[in-house]
Amino acid sequence: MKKRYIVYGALIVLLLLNFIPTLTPVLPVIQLPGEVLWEWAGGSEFLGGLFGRGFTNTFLATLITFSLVMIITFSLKAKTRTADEVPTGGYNFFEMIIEFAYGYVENSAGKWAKAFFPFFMTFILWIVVANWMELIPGVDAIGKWENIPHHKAHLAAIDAKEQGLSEEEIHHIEEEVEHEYDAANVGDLRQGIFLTKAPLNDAGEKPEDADWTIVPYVRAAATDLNFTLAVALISVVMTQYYGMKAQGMKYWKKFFIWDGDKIKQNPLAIMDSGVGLLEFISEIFKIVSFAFRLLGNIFAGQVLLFVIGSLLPIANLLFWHLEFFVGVLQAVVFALLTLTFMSMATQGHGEEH
Amino acid sequence: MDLEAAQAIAQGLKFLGAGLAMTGAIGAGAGVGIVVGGAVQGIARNPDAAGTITGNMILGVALAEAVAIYALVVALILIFVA
Repeated sequence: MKKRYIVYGALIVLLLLNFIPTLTPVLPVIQLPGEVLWEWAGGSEFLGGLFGRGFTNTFLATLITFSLVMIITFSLKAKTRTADEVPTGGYNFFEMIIEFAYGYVENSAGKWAKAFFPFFMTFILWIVVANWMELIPGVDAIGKWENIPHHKAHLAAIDAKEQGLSEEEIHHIEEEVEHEYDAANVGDLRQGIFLTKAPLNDAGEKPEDADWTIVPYVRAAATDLNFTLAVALISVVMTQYYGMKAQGMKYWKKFFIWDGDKIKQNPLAIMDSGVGLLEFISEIFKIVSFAFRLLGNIFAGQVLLFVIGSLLPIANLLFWHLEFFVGVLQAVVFALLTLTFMSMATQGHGEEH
Repeated sequence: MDLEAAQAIAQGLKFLGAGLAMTGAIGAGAGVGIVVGGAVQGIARNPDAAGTITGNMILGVALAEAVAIYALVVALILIFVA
């Protein structure tokens, strides 16, 4: 039996499985902040309120990304001791990437290459591993089973508790939200070995929609604004640092321009201060731009995978590859832009070509 | 108008706003087309430089796409956060 017929057969079986109503994948919970898996002891006040409401799934993904990057780098470093003259396999692959990247950085930055290269390579490795984690089967798919009305009621109760309402009012809000989402559905665990049999609802009819969802245990790190904002801040702050290191305090003359002589000659030269102010605002906007570019790409990709996966799973064969490409592209763009801005910062503003 | 109807209208308006926010992606489509058009012309004039041109084109595409992503983030915030 030729292998390709087995593959065709498997694809057709997967496509047909999609039309059995209870065997399609469930749509996981979609929300912009990371979902809390285990709440801290004191709620939002844990350690001064800087740690959010609890241990989120994106934080778990960040920790896993961190350990993966550390494992890769330290295992590569250990190999350098016993390296052959001609490298092979994974070591060769990384050596190729690093040589290529270092050549590029030298091209772009000149004598600052040794300082900029760690940032360039780290951003690439860190963001690529974080983005590719959402492609591994199991991530975003294995999680806590949650009943939709209960889940929404729980979130509403937590909001109410933050606002300081009384126990009774919280209970009332919980019930109200639960009823709102529970209209046509049963609200209880499905039965049977494959959890396909739904108990009839109060009116004695079969429920219409899936009344359950999943809160994934691990969710791609870059879908959380905290992660992307942190990386963006590092990038922009270090750019300013290297700008100051290269040019001293004259670096700030790029933003705050006030040339007394030039203004006496031509009063319209005050416009230069406006240009400087725009540059300053543009610098602040770079933080926002970096953070939202990465967040938007990866979060939209994740939502796309979720929704298509719950409607027509076979189409995820296509979107998985799109996410693969987008993951690498966004990491490279982030690193390249950081490198460009750092080079521009160290080269000085007023140099004529 | 009772509370439920008002809330339903508010929710519907949010979704309408999210749909309108995505009209910002028109600019991204035009921008990416211009970038890639310029790149293809460059390669046609100078096929030896194809590697460099392609590298810069990918960077340009990602930057032009970023503006559409900002619009998408606004739409997602409208749907999921507010």
